[in-house]
This record gives sequence, structure tokens and C-alpha cells, in this order.
Amino acid sequence: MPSGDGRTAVQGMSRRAFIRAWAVAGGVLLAGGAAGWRGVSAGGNVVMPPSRRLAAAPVLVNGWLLRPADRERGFPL
Amino acid sequence: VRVSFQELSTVSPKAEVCIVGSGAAGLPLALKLVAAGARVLLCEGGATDFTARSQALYRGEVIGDPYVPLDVARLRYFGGSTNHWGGWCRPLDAYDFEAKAAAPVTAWPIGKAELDPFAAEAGSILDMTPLPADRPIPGSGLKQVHISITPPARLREKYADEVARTPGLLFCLGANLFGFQVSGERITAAIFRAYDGSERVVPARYFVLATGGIENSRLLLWSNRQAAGAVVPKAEALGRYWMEHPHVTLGEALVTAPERLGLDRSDLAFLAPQPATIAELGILNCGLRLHRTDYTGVDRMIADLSCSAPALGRRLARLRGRRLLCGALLRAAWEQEPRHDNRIELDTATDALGMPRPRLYWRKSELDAHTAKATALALGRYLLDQDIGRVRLEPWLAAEDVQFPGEGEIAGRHHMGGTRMGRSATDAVVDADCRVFGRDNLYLAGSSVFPSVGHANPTLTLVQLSLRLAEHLRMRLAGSRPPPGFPLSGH
Repeated sequence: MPSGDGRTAVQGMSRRAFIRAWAVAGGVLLAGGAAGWRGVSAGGNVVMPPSRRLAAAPVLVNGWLLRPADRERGFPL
Repeated sequence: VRVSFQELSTVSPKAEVCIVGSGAAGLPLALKLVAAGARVLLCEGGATDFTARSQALYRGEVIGDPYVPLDVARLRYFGGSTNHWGGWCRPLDAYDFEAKAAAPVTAWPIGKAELDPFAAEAGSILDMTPLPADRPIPGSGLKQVHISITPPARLREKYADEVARTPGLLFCLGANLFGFQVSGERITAAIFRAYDGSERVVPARYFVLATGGIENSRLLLWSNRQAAGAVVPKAEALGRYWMEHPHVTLGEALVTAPERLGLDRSDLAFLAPQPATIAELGILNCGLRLHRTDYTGVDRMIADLSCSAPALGRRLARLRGRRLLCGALLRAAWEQEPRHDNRIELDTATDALGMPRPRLYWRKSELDAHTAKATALALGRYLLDQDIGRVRLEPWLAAEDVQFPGEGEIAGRHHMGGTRMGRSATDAVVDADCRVFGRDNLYLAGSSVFPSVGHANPTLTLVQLSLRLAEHLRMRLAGSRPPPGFPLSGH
């Protein structure tokens, strides 16, 4: 279930299953489409990364909290 | 009005309230009671200035995690530890008074609203500046918070003249509490001992122990032992649930939008989890402290990051060249889990007065590690989600099994708990009025009564509690006051 950081909780979950889980947890879906799906918890925290990011969960590399993509293509600013 | 130790037994019957300890808890309590018309005897074990002999009474053993020597963390003379404190003030958050999901034992029997009426007065005593409202940081689960950082109020200097001149306030130095006399449910007298072994028995209507976050426990444990359990008749929690604010450097951060974190207008910004985040992450309250670094520090961080993410490092280096990148040291001071095992006990060794020294058992828990790590990661994920920076955790924090460093800051020198406030004597020592369970006229003041500690520095809260206690005692005295008008000796 969504636990606040979202990514760990929903990793491997289909979008349909994710939506169902958030409905049970009292979360609200905010947006979809090109921006990807995002959710907000009952407490107001955005916790849902776009589904495309699910495969790109943050990783700790030598202490740095990074996206896997950081190691390949740089900081997307 | 100063009285000597030799005079104590003579003048003390004229005091209604005997307060032991003249620090941040005892001194404001005494002055507020006297201003309300009460006759107060304020007893301080130390002198007007630091003395090695008095300070040595604070020595004690620490078992568990590395900690600072007990006799350097607090000061034992007029004004107490306000003689060396840092002056940082912030009230506890409203949700600090509630049961947190990760450790329901954090609940207070009172809410923030009980202390709010005393916030302005306490802030004035401590020379605090008004604080802006907390600012939620959208999408982070965190909020920017503020701490009053002013030149610390030294209560000895600030109130010395007032103490010396105030009618109705008797002030005795070198009065070391050594025990209590008990009759029925009431404490009838306090026993003070001098270094030469002589003692004075001091009767009063009400007694308030305000001797600090270790001494309140030690003095009650010792008094209780001498009186065969008559001082604290329900002592299951006495000395237990002792707490600190662990202080650790968690890592560092590179940030391209410092204004989001409040680092654009200050070199020091404070963040804390919002209550929903505390619940969702299963943590306790945690204050993140971001100290802006100079560009040497930024360069070092970029170089370190480049080892793991070369392309990202190159991109950041270009931003640094245009001064669009900010570096920050990431520190934290957080709410330690209240645990029954963290405690003050009496040692077999004794001090110069013949009283057992304190022995502190203190360890940080898995929840303490989780609180620090999860809060740092919440900031890191916010920077990732917003593409405005990256966080690096110290190696010990990044490890699966977090082992705290054994040196460095360690903690805030904030001694809290040991005589916690609660709803019953099964897990607390004092009730919501700071009165010892089962004793009609024995009260405790100071951070020793905190059931939980939030992340805010404790002094403001403990002064608020003292002012609230003064109001409580004023009302009790109003219902039982003897005919007014008899002068105190020495006026």
C-alpha cells in the first residue's frame, strides 16, 4: 500500500492496481497524460511518481540519492 | 532577599512555596509567584558564580551510546544552565503533544493550547524574537520552520537585581537538597545539606523541584530511598523515559532552487516533516538544518558526485560557474523515541555530600535511526521529483544497518524526561499539573516532565510550563492563604 514515499509501495504494480490501491487508501489522483500519473495522499503529500518513473526509482549511489538516469544523461534541468 | 544557609530554618516557616533550583525552570516560577503575592523561598545549591566543588556534584556514569560527560552538559549555580545555553527558542508543534503512530507513548496529557497563553511571557523572559509562521513546501511533505536565534538570555545577569530587591522572595545559595520529610500525603519539609554535613529542615506548604533533567530524577530517587518510598509512592516510571535531541550531520545537498528551501535569504534554513509525513513514514518529529556552504564546499560536492554520475557532475559544474548552484550541509536534531530503558538510576558511588551519583542509561533506537534517515530521504526525493538538486547521505546513514557515529555533535545537551507527565502513575511521575502522583504538595518543574520532546529546543517549553505551574500554585494559594501582612525577615 502507499506508504508515503510511494515508489517502493507501488513498484511493480499496474496502473489499474495502483488506482484501486489509492482509492482504498483515501488518496486522490491529480493528473495524468503526458505528465504521467500523480497521486496525493490523504495528508496532502504528493507521493505517486508517473508510471514511467516506476522503473526509475531513486537509488543510493555512494550516498547520493540519484535517478538511474543521472548516471547516464545528466541532470535534467 | 538573600538568606544564609544558617538562617534557613529560621526564615523558612514564613515561605509558602519552596523552590529548589534557580535555572530556567525555577527562577521564572519564583518571580511569577512572588509577583502574584506569594512568599517564596528559592534555594540554589551552587553559588553566584561557577565553582568546581558545586559542579562536581553533577558527575555521573553513562552507559550505552557515547554521550557528553554529565558534569559539562549542565551548570550548577545561580541561573543554572542559562549561563551557557545557546539561546535557540521554538515552541513545540501542536502534534508533538499527540500520540504519534510510530510511538504512541509520545502523547502528553495536555495540548499545546494549555501552554500557548504563556508563550509571550516565556519568550520575553528568554529574549526571543517573534517567529514567522511555518511554510509548507508543496510536494515535499516538509515545511520550512523557524527558530529564534538571539544572544542567549543569561537569567543570572538579567534577574539578579530583581531577586535581590524583591520583597517576598527569599533566596539562599549553597542549599543542597538532600531529602524530604513526609506525613500522610504531604511533604512537610525539605532537608538541605551543606558541604560540612550540617543540615537545615525547611517546612513549606508547597515544594517545587526544578533542578534539571537529571537531578530531578536523582533527587527523587534518593529521597524516595531514604523515605522508604514515601516521597514518590508510585515510582514505576521514576527515572525512566529519559530523552535527548540527537544531533548528527546526515550529509549534504546541492540545490539549484534555494528559495524553495528558504536558503535564498539565509545561510541557515530549518525544515521539518509535516504531520501527515510523520504518520505516513512512521517517524517522529525531526528538524533538518541546512547550512549553506561556500563554493569550495560546492566544488568538493560536485567532484564527489562526478565519481558516481559524471554527466550530472558536468552539468552541475556549469551551473556552479554561473553561480546558479547552492551547496548545503545537512544536519538534523530530532525527537528521540521515549523508551522505558533509557533511564537515570542511583550509582553506588557517592558525591561530596554523600548522595549516590547518577547513572545514565542512554541508547538511540531503530526508530531514532529511521526518523533521521527517512526525513533526509524525504528531502532527497523532493529535490529529485522537482529536479532542483540532489542529496548525499553520510556513509553510516546510507548503510542498511544504521550505526550512529560515536563522536561529533552527539546530542543537544538537552536533558529531558525521567519524571514524565502523564495520566496515571503506571507510566508517569507527575500529573497534568506537574504534581507528583500521590503527593498533594510536591511539584516538578523543567524538561524532566516532558513525556516527549518534538524537535524544538526545550527551554521555551519548560519556561512555559513553569509559568503555567505558577498560575496553578497561585490559585491553590488563593484558596488557602493565611492572613496577609506579616513581613519577611531581612526586609
